[in-house]
Amino acid sequence: MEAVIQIRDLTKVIQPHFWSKKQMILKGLTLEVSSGEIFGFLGPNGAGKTTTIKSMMGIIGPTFGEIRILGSDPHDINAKQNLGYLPETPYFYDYLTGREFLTLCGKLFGMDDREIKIKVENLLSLVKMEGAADRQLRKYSKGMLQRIGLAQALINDPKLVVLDEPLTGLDPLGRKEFKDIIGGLKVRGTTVFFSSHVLPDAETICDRVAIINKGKILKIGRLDDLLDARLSSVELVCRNITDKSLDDIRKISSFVAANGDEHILNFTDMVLANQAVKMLIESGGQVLSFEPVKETLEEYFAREVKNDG
Amino acid sequence: MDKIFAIAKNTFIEGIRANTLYIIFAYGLMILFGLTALTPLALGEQGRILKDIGLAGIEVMGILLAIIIGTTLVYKEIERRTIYVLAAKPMTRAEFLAGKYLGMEMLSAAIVLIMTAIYYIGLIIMRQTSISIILIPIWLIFIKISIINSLALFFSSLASPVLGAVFTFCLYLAGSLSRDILELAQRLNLMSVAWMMKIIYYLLPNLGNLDAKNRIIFDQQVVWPQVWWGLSYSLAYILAVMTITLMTFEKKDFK
Repeated sequence: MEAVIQIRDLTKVIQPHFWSKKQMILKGLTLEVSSGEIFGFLGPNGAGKTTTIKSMMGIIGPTFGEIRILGSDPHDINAKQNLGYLPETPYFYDYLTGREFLTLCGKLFGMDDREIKIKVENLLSLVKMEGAADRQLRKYSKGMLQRIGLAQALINDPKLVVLDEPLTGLDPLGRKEFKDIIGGLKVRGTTVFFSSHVLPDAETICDRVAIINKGKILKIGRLDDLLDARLSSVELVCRNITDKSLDDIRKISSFVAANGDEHILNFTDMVLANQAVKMLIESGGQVLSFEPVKETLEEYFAREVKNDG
Repeated sequence: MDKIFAIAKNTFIEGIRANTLYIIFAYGLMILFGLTALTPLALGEQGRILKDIGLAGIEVMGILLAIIIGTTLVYKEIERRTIYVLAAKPMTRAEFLAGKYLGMEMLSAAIVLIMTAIYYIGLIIMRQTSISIILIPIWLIFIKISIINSLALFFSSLASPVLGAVFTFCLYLAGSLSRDILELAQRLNLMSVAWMMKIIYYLLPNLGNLDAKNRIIFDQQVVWPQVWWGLSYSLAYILAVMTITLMTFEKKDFK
């Protein structure tokens, strides 16, 4: 697969004022994103997500390292022709209406008036903003700005869309709609790179993720590979359990709860769960369900970040 | 070119929607004041006084607009992070700066045009003759404003609007007096100070080149070679300022 984002040894040192100490925000970050992927860039606040994205967009320059976007330098005009970008907490020209703003963005891509008109109507409909298109952006809520922001990022039918925290500020319905749009982009073959704090949402749409903390990448890989390796617990639901076997099972179980004649039991690993099933069947009990619970992305993320200190 | 025009149009709209039209209202009041309150005091010189305050008003208001709006042009884009969206678009930083400057020029031209219309209404009411010649000093005032626009844009890419406004205003004042600086340098015996003053003279915008107000007010002929020289000088000065602005802006990190 062709690599659309290539970052090698990206390092960014900043000095907010000439009298203040230099800070290393990114520490030799390396990653590659292939064509057609939905790539999640996850990390706690201050991890360096936005700095990485700003470097990718040519908003700031790297101190060391190399970035290639669609095979070119981030400042290359031809590469930007195929790039869409939604910044974190989007700030737009608040004196423009939504329609005027999208028209301006279309002009900056060199589109003609007719093409812009059709594209703007389609995008307004896609992000469900037709009703507010002629209202000034200063009168928009945070979620509405996010929607217009996504629309401007898609005005050029980009090959690569970079979204910085696209799901923040959206209500649950809005988040679902955004995820559907991102899913639709994948179907069209568009590569999506996005940073997020909303991990359960990221889990549902990403092909691969990178976890970044304190300016360096902790883990990178396919979600299935990262999460399958870890079993969080095993949940067992049973019926007709005798008092004696319940007492025995309680010793190896991490959690026991009763619900009428049913019991919900939880075990930290598969061996203990199998042992409990054996004890249960031998005492005449009935297994209603046996479910290995995989570690969620949120749990995995929290563990990796905690291990990193 | 389309991208430059798109940025220019956006800058123009921003200026118009930022209540800059109050400047026109203030100018209208100034002309009304000239027509009514000053008439009893003018001792038959009402026409000349109106010509004088009308032209001075266009210059003051135009420069005020250049300083107020111009010094925020790039600073606001960075501060409000609207530059983030633009930086990801297929547009060079030179095109962005050119668009910003062109938009500011369009705004200045529109405001100067409306003020000129108000001025002409005042002159017609005062039954002034041969008023078409007054377009020449107005044109030169616009060129002066264009120089100040380029300086305001330069400072807006480097400093806060308050600092930018102070620097731009100081340069306007110093530029209006630059001939005096040269004369002072020529009279000084101390060579090193004289040289330094000469360098300052060449760095400052020579706005005196663009002054034809007094000749028009006192019905004297316009010296055309001087006007053409002033125009050529201004164009070169604006290009130099824009080049320096681009050099400082090209590698800037937008934090």
